[in-house]
Amino acid sequence: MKSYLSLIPISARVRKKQNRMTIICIMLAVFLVTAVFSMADMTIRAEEASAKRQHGNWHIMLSNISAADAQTISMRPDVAAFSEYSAINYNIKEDYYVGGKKAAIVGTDKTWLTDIFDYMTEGQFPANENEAVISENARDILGAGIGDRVTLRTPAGNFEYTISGFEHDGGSSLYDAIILCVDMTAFERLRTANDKAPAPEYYCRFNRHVNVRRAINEIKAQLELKDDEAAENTVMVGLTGFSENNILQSMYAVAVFLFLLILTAGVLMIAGSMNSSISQRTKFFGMLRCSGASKKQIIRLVRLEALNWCKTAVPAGIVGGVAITWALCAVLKLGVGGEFADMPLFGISAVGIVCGALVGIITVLIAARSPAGRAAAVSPAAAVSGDVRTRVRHAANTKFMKIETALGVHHAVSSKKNLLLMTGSFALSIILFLGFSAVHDWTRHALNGLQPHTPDLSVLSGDPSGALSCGITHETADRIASMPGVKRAFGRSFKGGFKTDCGKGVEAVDLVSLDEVQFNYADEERWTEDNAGLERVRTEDGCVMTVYDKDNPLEKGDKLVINGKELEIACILTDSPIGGSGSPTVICSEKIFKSLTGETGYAVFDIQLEKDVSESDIRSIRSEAEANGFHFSDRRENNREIVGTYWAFTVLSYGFLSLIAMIAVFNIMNSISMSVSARLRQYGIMRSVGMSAVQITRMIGAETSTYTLCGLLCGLAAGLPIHKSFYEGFVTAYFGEAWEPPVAGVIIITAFVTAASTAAVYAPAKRIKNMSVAEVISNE
Amino acid sequence: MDLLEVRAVSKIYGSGDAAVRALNNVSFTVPKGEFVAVVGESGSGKSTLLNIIGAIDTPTDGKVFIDGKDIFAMKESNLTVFRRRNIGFIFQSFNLIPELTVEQNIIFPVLLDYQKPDRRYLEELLTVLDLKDRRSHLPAQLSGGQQQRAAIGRALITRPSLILADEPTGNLDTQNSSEVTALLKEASQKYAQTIIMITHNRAISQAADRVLQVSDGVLTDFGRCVG
Repeated sequence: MKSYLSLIPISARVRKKQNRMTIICIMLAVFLVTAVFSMADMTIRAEEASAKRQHGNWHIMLSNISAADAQTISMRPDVAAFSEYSAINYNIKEDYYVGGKKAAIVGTDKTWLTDIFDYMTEGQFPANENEAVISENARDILGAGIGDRVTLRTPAGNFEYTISGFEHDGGSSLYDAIILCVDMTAFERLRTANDKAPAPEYYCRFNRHVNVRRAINEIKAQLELKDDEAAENTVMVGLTGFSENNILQSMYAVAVFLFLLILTAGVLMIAGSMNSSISQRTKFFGMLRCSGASKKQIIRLVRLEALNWCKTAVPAGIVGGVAITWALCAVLKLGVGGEFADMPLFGISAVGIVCGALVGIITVLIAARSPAGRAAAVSPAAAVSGDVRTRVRHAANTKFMKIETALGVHHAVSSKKNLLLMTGSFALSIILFLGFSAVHDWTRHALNGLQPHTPDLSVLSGDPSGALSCGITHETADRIASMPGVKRAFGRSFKGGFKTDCGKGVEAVDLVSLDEVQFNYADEERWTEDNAGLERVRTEDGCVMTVYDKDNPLEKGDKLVINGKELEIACILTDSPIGGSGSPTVICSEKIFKSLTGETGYAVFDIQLEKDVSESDIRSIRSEAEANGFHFSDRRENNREIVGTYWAFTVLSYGFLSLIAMIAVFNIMNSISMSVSARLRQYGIMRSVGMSAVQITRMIGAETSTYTLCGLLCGLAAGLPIHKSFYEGFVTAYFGEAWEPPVAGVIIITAFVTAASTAAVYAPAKRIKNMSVAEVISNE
Repeated sequence: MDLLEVRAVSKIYGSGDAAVRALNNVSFTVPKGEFVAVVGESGSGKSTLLNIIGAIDTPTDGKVFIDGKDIFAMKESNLTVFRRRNIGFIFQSFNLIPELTVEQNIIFPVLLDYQKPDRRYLEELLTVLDLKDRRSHLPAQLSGGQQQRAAIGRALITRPSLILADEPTGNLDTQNSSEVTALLKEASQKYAQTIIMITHNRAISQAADRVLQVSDGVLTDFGRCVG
């Protein structure tokens, strides 16, 4: 032995079994932090890649600015990419055609098509004004390839281009049109020929590590731009961490809050575990003091001992954290796909590893402070006399409870500090669970891609101005519904901007009718909690409903007059796939719609397909729709992405909830086991004077129940307001659903905590039952 | 009539080369109401013998009969209840429950039986033990002698037929030692209880009805004291 500190490895060897729990606690804290940070890092990387793919790699889009201003901004040192973009007929309403298909024309530069948006799938950006990049669907529709010639038919005449490449921006398949992309010179020629006013937009991306928020504000102030003239790419700006978007900011706040809670839980767990370990070794520390060790030396010994545990626990926690991150990334990438296809498979997050290691060491040092102090405070005299038990101030109350229950409760409440630590760690688990379940509720509301009503295909009827019209007759609808591959079909009529009067400042509403199938969906999918109201809208004449929106002033019971007919808002939909165009949406039965508008046709006809539908069946449906002059929209790819995102969030949120529940279970079991170890001798004495194994189990059960009850009460008292505030911030504000106590969540976590507490009693009780009473009494 | 019969009891700790024979084929009987002192060097096997008689340890070989019952043939649950009602334990380090008052500690075995204590007997015990004015005190508030008297009260409360005392005076001064021994002797006579007490104190062993010596796991019966 070189110094008294050489005791640390010796003690670690001797107390290997006893230290295991503490090491597991540290490992768990490091594991959690490494996993959470690594997953956040990987998700941000994937989100960034996915956002770049979906929304483009830009931060701000400027419109209504002069070419000179655009030039100035492009010269800013913090600007990484800057591109001009213009489009003609992007809403596909005018007569621009390529090979008989409606066409939209985009004029831009190479940066826009290859860097700001990664749209190029094959070939190159046009090298001159006679070349064009064309959307990929042209390959099927026109049978065209690179080097082929295509003719763009415009109101001002035909323009010919050589295909230099193909691009894919998603819009082409959604609107079933061809997109033709040319350079700015070719675009200017087209624009002037067709007498279109210039309306360029400028896409701007800032360098990494630039305060994007500040840069945007500077540009807006410099050019005196309004908000709609400087549109932000919220997702990309959000990922830089400088977003002003409320929901993203709230998400950051929640993430930090939950993270702090996990950290506190970790510190509580380690502190509790160390406290227990120290109290079992009071005699040892007393003997060290007798041998001449100073208080400072004892404190140093306890701290270094704790750090010595980190030697094993931190690397193990980090390895576990990285491994779980890899596993989760693999599940998301290979199992879920969609936008998580960009998830890195074996990514190493430096942030995750550093934070994990730091948290392990820092929490251990914080947690060791109090036990180190306690160890140093042990009186040498007490150690020598063997009287090293904690002094008891009050006797147990045996009047109202059985002796074993009274002792169990007393064990739990006699040490205020211990009770506080145990209640705190139980309560924290509950608060974490409830807090996170509110975020989970938001996920459920925000992503409704899996709802039964979601169509695979949509047929839309538009008038010459491009607005929806009720042109799909019931005969056409029936014909499409009976085609092979169609599982279910349903239609709705639409009339936008209907003049109304309701005295609430609403001048116009969008009127939508639902058929029976959709009324059934509304009922099954719980678009509203108000079933009676929904039934009235379905059956009663004069009853309509509206969709909740922050800006929609219409409320249940309001009367509004449309076309001289008085209608009553009988129901508010909180979760509806039918969105409005800005005016409040009023939904009614087909009968009311007909009486108000005289129209009987559908504006939108949604189709759900059989699982084994063939592509040729879909082509037939498309042909039938287009033959009647309707737009055809294939939503399957979009749906797949939504399903992917939904599953990813579900896996992540349930994974996180399970992790929290796991911490709760582990914490409870560990704490009870520690508590029993600390009282082992006392239990031995009780056994020797006639306490049965069942009574011992009951006593430990009573102690555990006391912790559980206190933890549950405190956890629910703090967790429910947190759940309410999260829920109101995320769900009520955006989806209008009022907060209700999360009964299911409370039942689940209560059951979980109770089950964990019950299980926690089992192992120590078994240990005591099997222990040799004589050995415990004589050795301890 | 014999209250206790120890028949060919052996106890071996460990196995193979590390095996330690703590008791070697020990046999003896103790009649009802006798006060027996067990003497011997440290590590001779005295405490092992006492623990086996009290059923808090099990023999490797042999049997122990209390009131004619083979205690190691009983189920664990029955044995616990039997021990609670028929055997009183007194330890050197008192081993009181720190969370219970003197009175609660004394009636502890009765409470474990979910019975109400006999108040008159309790008062009598408290008087005999001179703990009346200390009945609401916690063990930590008592002197060593008072703690040991409370432990004796706990051993006597169920009126057990057998009291096992493992060096009950080991932590006490001379005066307290004499008082505790006198108390035990008085109880043995008054309530016809059998007492087996381990002691290093020659004076106490001389006060016993009979002295047994354990040496290297082998028991020698020095026979009954005269007078």
